[in-house]
Amino acid sequence: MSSSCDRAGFPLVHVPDRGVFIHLLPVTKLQFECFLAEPKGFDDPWYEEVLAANPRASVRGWDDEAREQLFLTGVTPEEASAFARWLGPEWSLPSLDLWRHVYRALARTAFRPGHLDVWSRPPTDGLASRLIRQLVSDVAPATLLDVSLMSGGVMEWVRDEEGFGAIGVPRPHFAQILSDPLRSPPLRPIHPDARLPYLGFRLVRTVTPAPPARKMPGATVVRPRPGG
Amino acid sequence: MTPLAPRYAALEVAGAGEAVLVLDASHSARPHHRRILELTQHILGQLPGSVGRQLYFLGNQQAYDPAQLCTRSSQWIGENLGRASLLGPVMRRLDPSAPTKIVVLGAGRIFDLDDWVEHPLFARLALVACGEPLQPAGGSAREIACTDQGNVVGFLYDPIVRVSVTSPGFMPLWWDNAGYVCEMGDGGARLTAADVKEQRLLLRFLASRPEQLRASVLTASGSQVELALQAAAPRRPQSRVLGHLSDDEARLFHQACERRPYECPHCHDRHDWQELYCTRGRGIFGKPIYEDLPDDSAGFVIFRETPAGVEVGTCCEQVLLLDAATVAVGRGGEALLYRFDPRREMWQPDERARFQQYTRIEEHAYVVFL
Repeated sequence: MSSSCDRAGFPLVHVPDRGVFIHLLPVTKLQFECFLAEPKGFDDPWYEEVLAANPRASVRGWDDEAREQLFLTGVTPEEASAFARWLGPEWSLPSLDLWRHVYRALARTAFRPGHLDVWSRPPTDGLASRLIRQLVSDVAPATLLDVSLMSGGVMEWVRDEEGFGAIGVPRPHFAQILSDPLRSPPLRPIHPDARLPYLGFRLVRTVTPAPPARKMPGATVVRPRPGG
Repeated sequence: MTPLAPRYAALEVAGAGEAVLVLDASHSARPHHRRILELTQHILGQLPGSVGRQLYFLGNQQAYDPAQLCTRSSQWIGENLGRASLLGPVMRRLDPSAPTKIVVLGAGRIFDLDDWVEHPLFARLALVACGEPLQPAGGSAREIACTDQGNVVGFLYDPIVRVSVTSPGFMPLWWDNAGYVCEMGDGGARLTAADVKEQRLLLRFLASRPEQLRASVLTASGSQVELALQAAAPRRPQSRVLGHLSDDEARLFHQACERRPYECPHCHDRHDWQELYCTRGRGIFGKPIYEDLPDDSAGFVIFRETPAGVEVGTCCEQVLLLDAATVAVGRGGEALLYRFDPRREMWQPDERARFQQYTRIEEHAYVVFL
């Protein structure tokens, strides 16, 4: 069994019928900066360029209108994959199918205040907890889908048979993209290397071989296990 | 008037703490690495030896040995060259409750500075830009110009030069830190220390508004902070027994307690009952009539009648509480009386009355001021 947080202390949601954990939220700038703190070729000039596409909001306080600035966008699938490799060999961008499966599962899972308790304890990072508490206060979620910002967040890189595409339901003032996340084909930028301000990602961690597909169970929030 | 009740409070003032230097070895600071290293070495050389030093690089939680900076700076810059300008890895490493001072020397924006604005150490952090600013204009972090090296050193090492404890109607009775003295002024009583070697203070005191008891801490740079004292459990020390009076001295003591003149054991003349020294003999200071008292006996001394004789002991309180609104405060060679003025919430000197030697403080205990 694995920890329910990544090594930056950001929580994951367990999707047992697919044998994966997935980031509760799109990858944040705060989270990505743990990776940036190690010399891996992503230095100040690179980050300045990324922030030029979508400035950085601090988890210490942000305007809800600008909450998308919390998340890392303007990155390519290759750069997202570099972050995945830093997290570990079992990490990757989600497939389109998995992303949609998680979307449906989270939409069926009611949000409970007890979830916040789980995300407020170690190994969840203190700043990550703060971010989630503020987000829950702003969003007033009915389901875990609302918390996850798979709807109301950024466009997210996914893998499919054609390579990489982006899917999601951004808020209109952030990006005017009309697509149905469960039916529309993924968005494929004309220039995949361009730093598009609305393109972010979340990652999955595969922990067990996927069991045979069952009939649509919900997603679960597992209690954190330090050092898992 | 509601009588003032003795209370206990504790204070701990932070010491100078450690100096943390965080260097920017990122690409954005590359043209300024030499300047950053020179400045760092200058600062390390200027800090007093008593100040602990820590060295970090932006984006890196690993601590480096400042003593090796001269010989290994090139290697360390190389190790940290590809890191992003992030403060988080260092801030997560530091103890937020420690009185640490942090100086970041670099060039170019620190990306996550805003995340740490509410962190306890943020108020103890200063940015020194050796090139482009480390934060946007109007940023919330303190900035010191890189040309003002003295100010950087002064920021990192800013010793306490004075602590002053007071509140409305304040009167200290006993305290356990010998660095503090009771000062009586127009503004009332204060407990002050000029050189705070021991950082903890426990005191027994009177105050009309004890909840407002505050310590004002002034540092060498002129910065001043107010600290609230914490209520503490009573811990009144026992007085120290100095010895017992001889039979002749005990007889003299009883006469004095009855306010009768006594025959001086030195000059054999009659002395007023309040006189504790014979000045008719040798020496300008006179000779103590209780000769067996230790030479260093000073301040308030208690005589206690016991079955074994008259025991002499120190008074554990530096200020003697005589009744709910009267205290005696030792000043040089005499004890002055102060009375509490409830209207002004202040202790005022009593010009008309004097401290009476052999004042009875308990059924069989009397106090004198030496």
